[in-house]
Amino acid sequence: MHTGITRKKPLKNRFLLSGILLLSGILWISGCSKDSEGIFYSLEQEEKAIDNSLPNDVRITGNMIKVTVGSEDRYYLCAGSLFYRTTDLSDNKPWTQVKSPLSFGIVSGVAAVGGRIYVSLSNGKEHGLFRLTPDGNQFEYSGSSDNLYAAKQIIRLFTLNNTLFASVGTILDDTFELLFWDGSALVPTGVHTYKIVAGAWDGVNYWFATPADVFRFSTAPSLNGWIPTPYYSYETYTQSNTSPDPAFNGKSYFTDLFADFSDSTVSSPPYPLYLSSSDGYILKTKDGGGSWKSSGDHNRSFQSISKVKDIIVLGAGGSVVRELPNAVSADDLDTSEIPGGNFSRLPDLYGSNVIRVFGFGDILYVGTTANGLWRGDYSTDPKSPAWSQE
Amino acid sequence: MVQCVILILEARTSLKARIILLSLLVLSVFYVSPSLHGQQEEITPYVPTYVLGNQILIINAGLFVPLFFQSLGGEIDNTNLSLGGVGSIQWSTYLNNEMTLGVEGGGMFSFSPNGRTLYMLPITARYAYILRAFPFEFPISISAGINFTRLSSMFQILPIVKPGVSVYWNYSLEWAFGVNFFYWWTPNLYSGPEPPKSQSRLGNFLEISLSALYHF
Repeated sequence: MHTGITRKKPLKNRFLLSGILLLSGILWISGCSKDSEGIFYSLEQEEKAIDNSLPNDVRITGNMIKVTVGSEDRYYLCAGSLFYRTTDLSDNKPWTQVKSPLSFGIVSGVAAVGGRIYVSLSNGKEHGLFRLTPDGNQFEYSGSSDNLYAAKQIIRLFTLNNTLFASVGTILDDTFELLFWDGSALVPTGVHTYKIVAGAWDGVNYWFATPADVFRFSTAPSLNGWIPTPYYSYETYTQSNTSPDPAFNGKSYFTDLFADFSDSTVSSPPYPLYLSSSDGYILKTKDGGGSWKSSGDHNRSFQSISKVKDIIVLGAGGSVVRELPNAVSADDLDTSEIPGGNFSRLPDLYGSNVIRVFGFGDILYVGTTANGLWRGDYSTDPKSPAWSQE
Repeated sequence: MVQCVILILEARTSLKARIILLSLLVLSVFYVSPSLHGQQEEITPYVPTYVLGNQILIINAGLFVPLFFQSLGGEIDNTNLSLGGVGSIQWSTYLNNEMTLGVEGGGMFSFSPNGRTLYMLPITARYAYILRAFPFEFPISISAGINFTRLSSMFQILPIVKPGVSVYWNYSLEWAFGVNFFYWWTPNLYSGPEPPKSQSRLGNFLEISLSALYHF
């Protein structure tokens, strides 16, 4: 009997030890998470997104504009194809897709100048700049002669001070160039070899950004009239340690520019200008580049910058939209917030890679790489916008 | 008894009385005779018994019913999940006629309001105590283990405990069929800073599944 007890005890202890180790292992494994939010918590918070007629899986491939066509205010959007719809959401009109003049053409930009709408496309082999018909419903295309620019791929198209600009060229041929519309054709501004990714006009100066340079021109564009000397160059800074302002020191990976014409604290131009970078910085100037203020490192890959209501908004790769609630009123570029309202209940929105943000007064549109376009209505309560999917 | 009948028949009685007596005797054979009644009771079905080493394999498939999430503070909230599907395979060995011990692997899926799919793949050890009322069996079981959980790009290995009760009908010595009610309790705990502790939730679900059980 005694022998039996002494045999059983180690076995029992071994089982107990194994059980404790197994339990510890499970708790240790379950305690480790690389996720940014709880799995069950995410489900608990989720709500069904209100969904409009734009396909939900489209990639935003260019910009978005608000323009008046005839008696109708419309949004035009580059989402693979060109889409448009009225700005009055209460009319329940769907998004309409405009048939591309190039087979498999991807729309890279849309801009309105002189009452006409210009659209850039490329399918890799063929490139083009086309106009829409005056009613804005289709491309003006009856033959290749209607292609206004076919030489190179247009990567950005924007209107600054009622002038159409096109940044052209690809990394494959390394022939980047900034062109402008002289009334009948796209002609060189004189800025070349730099890949322009963003442009803005602050009421006095034309600003352009490449991933590593910033240009400022105070004169209107003319044929090869601009000398391509950067206002700030990362390369120059690394070689000679000089920059126009200490706020620029060592900064690069610029992605977007935004001139704030609706800043009520500024009565005359130049208007405040914001510059975002994908290594997490925001810079601001209120005096046309005389002095700058920089944020600290937000540790976010900012891709786009805009404004809704009185809030500067940033779109970032890797699942974030960030608001800078005090950037306009107090030049505070460091305080950032996640949008309110039902933003955190829509995983296809807050979990998306946001590449573009477009502000139109009280309405913010957020363009994603794979989950389409989202709309934030800030009109009722800026702290609690109502989000829905287009 | 036969001799008794002959004696009665041979007695000098009237024909009417003989018929009545004979009828009573015949009735007594069928309704009173203890020997014939005893033979009927002896025809009982064979009830199998199981010993250590007997094994069973069970395949389950059915519905997954999301119940609720509970925060560490005790608040209850909706899972927002749709009715889902569940399936599993289980192997067990009898420890004795009443108890089994085994392992189980399976999985479930369910959808969020915006079409995200929640997958949970538990691997557990299962103990069952079996109550019987032949041809029915009522295993009361509990299983515990780890639960591979995925939602979109999020993934975590969670602990899981599954108590449950089943009802089986023994179709043959080898096969039985039944229905299971298993409660899934799986804590999704965080210690912060990201995700914060406040996002910890205890998941509560119900599995209602049909079973096919094979003895070997």
